[in-house]
Amino acid sequence: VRNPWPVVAVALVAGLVLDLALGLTPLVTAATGLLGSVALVLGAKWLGSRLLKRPESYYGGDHG
Amino acid sequence: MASHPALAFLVAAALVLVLPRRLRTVAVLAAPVAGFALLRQATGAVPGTVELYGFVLEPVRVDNLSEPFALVFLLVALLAGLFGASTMAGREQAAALVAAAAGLGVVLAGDLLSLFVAWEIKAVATAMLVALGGRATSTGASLRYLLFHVIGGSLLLGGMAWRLADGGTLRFDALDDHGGATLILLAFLLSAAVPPLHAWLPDAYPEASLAGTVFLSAFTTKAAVYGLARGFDGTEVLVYVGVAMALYGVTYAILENELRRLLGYHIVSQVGFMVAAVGIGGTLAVTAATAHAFAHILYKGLLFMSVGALIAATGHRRLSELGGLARALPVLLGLYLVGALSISGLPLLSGFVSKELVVEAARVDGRWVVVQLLKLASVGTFLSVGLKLPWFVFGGPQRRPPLRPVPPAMIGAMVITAGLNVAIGLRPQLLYDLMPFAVDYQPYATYKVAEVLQLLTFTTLGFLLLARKLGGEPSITLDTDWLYRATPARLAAGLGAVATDIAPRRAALDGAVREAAARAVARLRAPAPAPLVPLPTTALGAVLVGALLVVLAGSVLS
Repeated sequence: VRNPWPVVAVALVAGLVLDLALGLTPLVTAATGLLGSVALVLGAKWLGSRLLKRPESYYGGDHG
Repeated sequence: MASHPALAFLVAAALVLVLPRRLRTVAVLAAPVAGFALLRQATGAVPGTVELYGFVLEPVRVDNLSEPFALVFLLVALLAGLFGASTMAGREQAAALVAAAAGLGVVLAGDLLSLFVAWEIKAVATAMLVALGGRATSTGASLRYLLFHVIGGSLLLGGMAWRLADGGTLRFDALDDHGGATLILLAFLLSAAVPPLHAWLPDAYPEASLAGTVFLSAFTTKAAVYGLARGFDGTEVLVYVGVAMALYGVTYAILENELRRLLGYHIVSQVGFMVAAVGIGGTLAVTAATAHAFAHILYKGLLFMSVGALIAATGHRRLSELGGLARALPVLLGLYLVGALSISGLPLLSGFVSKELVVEAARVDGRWVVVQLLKLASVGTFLSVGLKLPWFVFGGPQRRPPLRPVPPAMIGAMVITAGLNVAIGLRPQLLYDLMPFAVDYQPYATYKVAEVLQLLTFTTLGFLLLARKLGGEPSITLDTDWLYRATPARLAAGLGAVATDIAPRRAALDGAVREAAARAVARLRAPAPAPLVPLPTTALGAVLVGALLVVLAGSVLS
C-alpha cells in the first residue's frame, strides 16, 4: 500500500460512528489497535537495534 | 481403584521401541484412545489412594479442574502423534508418549508426591524430545532445558518437604501462605516460562523435530498453568506477572526471524493471559484460564504443525529465507491462517471464545488497566503471527526454494485440528461444557464482536504503515539466556586473556631483575676506590670548633 493514510482516515471515522452507535468509549479501541501496533513495532525495533540484535554466529553456532 | 490413563501411554512407549513403523503408528494413535477410555472410567469412580511409608497418595484424581486439562492432553497427543506418524523415529515417539503420560500424571495427581514424580518424568522425557531433534545444536539446548527443569523440580521437592516439616500434608489443593508454598509457586512459574525464567522455551522448542515441537508446546507450560490454577487461584502477584508475560512475548516475537522461535515467544505471551486470569481468581477467571489453555493447545498445535509442514516442504526455517509461497502452498496457507487468526482472537475461531473470557474476567473484576494491556498484547499477537509471518512467508517477492511434498499424515492432522478450532469458534458451548464451572457468558454480543474487529482492523492499518520495518533479518535476539550462555564463555575468555597477558609481563620482569643483579655483581667485582674524607664530618667539625671559640670569646669578654 503506497499511501495508507486516506484508508486510516476513513477507518477512524467509521470506528467513531460505530463506537457512538454501540455506546462504546469513542476511538479507544481504534487507538489501542493503531497506536498500540505502532508503539510495539517502533519500541521493539528500538530495543532490538540498541540492545538485543546480534549476528547469527553470536553463540558460536550453538543457536537455532 | 481406577487405572491411570497414563498407563496406556507407557505401554505404547515400550511397544514403539520394538515394533516396525506401521505398527508403531497404530500404538501411538491407540494410546490416547485407550487413555480416553481409562479417563472416562476414572471419572465416575471413587478416587483411590495408596499408602506409602505412612503418606497417603492419590495418583488419579479426576475432578472438574483436572478433567479438561487431561482431555485436551489426550486430544493433542492423538493429533501430534498423527502429525509425526511418518517422520518420527521410534525413540522419539517413545519420548513423546512418556511426555504425554507424565503430563497426564501431573494434572491428575491428587497429592504433591505423585505430582513431583510425574513432573520429573515429564522434564526428562521432554528434554529427550529436544535432544532427539536431530540438529547439531539440539543436545546443547536439551541440556540447558533439563538444567532449568531440574532446578524447578528441586524447588517443588523443597517446597513439599518444607510443608511436611511444618506439619502440612501432601494433599494438592489450594496452598496456604507458607514458605514451602512459595517454593512450589516458583517451580510452577519456572515451568510456565515466566520472564526472566522463560528463555529455556524459545531456546529449546525450535531444536526439537517438527512433530516433537507440537508435543512440547502442549504439555510443559499448560501443566504449570494447571498447577497455578489448582494451588494459587487469586494470588494477586500473578496478575502483574501474567500481563508482563503477555507483553514480553509479543515484543520478542516482533523481532524474531526464526519461525518456531517466534511461535515460542507467543507461548510465553498466551500463557501470560492464563497466569493473569489465575491471579484474578474466582470461578469465572479460573474457568477463563482453563478455557484459554484448552483453546491454546489446539490453535498453537495447529500453528506449530503448519510451520513444521512449511519447514518440511521448503527446508528453510527463517523468515528472511522465505517469500512468495502462497500460490505454491495454498492449503498450508489456509490452515496456518486458521491458527493465526484464532490466536489473534478473530470471531468464529476458538481463540476469540477463550481470550474474550479472560478479558471479561478482568473487566468483571474492575481491572481496566489489565483489560487494556491484554488488548495491547492481542495487538502484538495479531501483528506478528497474523500479519508479519504470513505477509513475508506467503506474500512478498518470490524466494521460493524447490518444494518437497508434505506427508499426508501431516495434512490430515492439521485439517482435524483446524476443524476443532472452527467448531469451538462456531459453538462456544462445546468448550464451555468442558469447563470446571458453569459459564454464563455470551461472547457473540454485538459490541464485543465490533470491538474485536475494530482492534484487528486498526492493527492491520498500523502494520501497513510500518510493514517495511518488520521484514525478517538474518540475526538473533539476545534474551535472558545470554546470562548463562555468553557469560561463562566470556569469563573463561577473560581468564584466558589474563593468563596470556601475564606471560610477557613476567618475562620482562625476569629480564629486569636479571639485569639489575648482573649490574650489582659487576659493581662488587670492580676495584675499590681510594678512601675519601667525608665532607659532612669536616664541615661539622669546623662548625663545632667555631661555636666553641665564640662561646670562649664571649665568656672572656664578659
